[in-house]
Amino acid sequence: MTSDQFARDPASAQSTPSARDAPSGASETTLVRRAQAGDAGAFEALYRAHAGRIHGLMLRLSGSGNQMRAEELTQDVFVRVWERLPSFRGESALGSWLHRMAVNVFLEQERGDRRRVARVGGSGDDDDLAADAPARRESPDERIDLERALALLPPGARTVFVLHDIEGYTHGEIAALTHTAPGTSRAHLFRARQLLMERLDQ
Amino acid sequence: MMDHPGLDILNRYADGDLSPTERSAIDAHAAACGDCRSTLDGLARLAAAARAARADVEPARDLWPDIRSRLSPRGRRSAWWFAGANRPALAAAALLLVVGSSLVTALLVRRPPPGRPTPASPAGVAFAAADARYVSAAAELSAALETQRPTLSPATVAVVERNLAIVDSAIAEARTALLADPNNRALVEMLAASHRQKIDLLQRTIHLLPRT
Repeated sequence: MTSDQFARDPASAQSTPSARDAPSGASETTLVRRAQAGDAGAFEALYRAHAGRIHGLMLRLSGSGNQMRAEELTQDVFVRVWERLPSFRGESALGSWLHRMAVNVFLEQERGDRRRVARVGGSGDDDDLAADAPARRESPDERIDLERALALLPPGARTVFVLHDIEGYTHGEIAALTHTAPGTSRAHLFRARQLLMERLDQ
Repeated sequence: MMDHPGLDILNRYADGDLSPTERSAIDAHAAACGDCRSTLDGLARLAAAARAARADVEPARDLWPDIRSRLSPRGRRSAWWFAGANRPALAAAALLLVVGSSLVTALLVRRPPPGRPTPASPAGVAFAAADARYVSAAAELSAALETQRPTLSPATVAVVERNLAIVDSAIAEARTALLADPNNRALVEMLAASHRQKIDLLQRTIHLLPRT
């Protein structure tokens, strides 16, 4: 066998006829089953149905100005979903399962970033770094909206605000995802809200 | 009138986390306290803005081609990567691949051809982003695979080199084409996709190795 054989595999082939041929009424369950069996075309249809939601989430979590990182994260999420899809049993809605996986991908990468910062001599605590950095202020003449204000928050506070106030996670769920205590989640949230109100009132 | 409640209490009020008695006390205080009423109004406005912010945002470009290039086939783990090679051999193959591919990347990114400026086109930017991702993943894989290197036999190395030659051939073709046409977005994406495909395979290979 050669590497060409891999290139012809359904998942990596350039042509995805099954995505184009998917009937418009094909249920998500059917697409999931096909994707679980290795049909990249069906998976493309699932990607296109959920890309906007996941990309929007990644934009908010990474700071709305960070378009490139949000795109990379979105790609990572769907690659992870492809890998884990065989274990999806349909006990929850696909959208919820996918959303939770997206949050996990983001948090794992954020933890990796912190470890790398720590290895090169930083504290590895993004919030500490943000607190020590000069305050990033918008021009007084510039309108501050929530998305831009979010991008200026310390990462930990932004993550909790996005998950709790925008995405609807509970403090218990956030604590489980971030390996912290619910009280820590609350502290981050209240700090985020305070900072946001200050910025939005400017 | 009660003392000013702390910000944490006002947040809990806004979240509906207080008991009816506690809420009544805050209501009574806020009715007579402009500062606390203003804070509660601010929290309510922020909550409304947060609800409105939960919107889908389609990516500015189509991410599917890059995603597709990284999808590993299902049920094909007995493909050529795994045929005739034991696990240490695969680890060595992975390590050599990472080193070889890193060299290609370094050539492409850090030393543009004489007389050619470093591409600042969208294609160049796309490649730089993909390459940064590749380099990061390659570094982690290298560290993981290095631990298997002492277990390799000469026969294993031979298997590794044969497999590496096949892969390097594919990389070399893309590299030659890209050096001749550094602003060709399709070539950039092709090479980046090859890198990612191999990284993905290497990660899977590592997962199959026995843990030490």
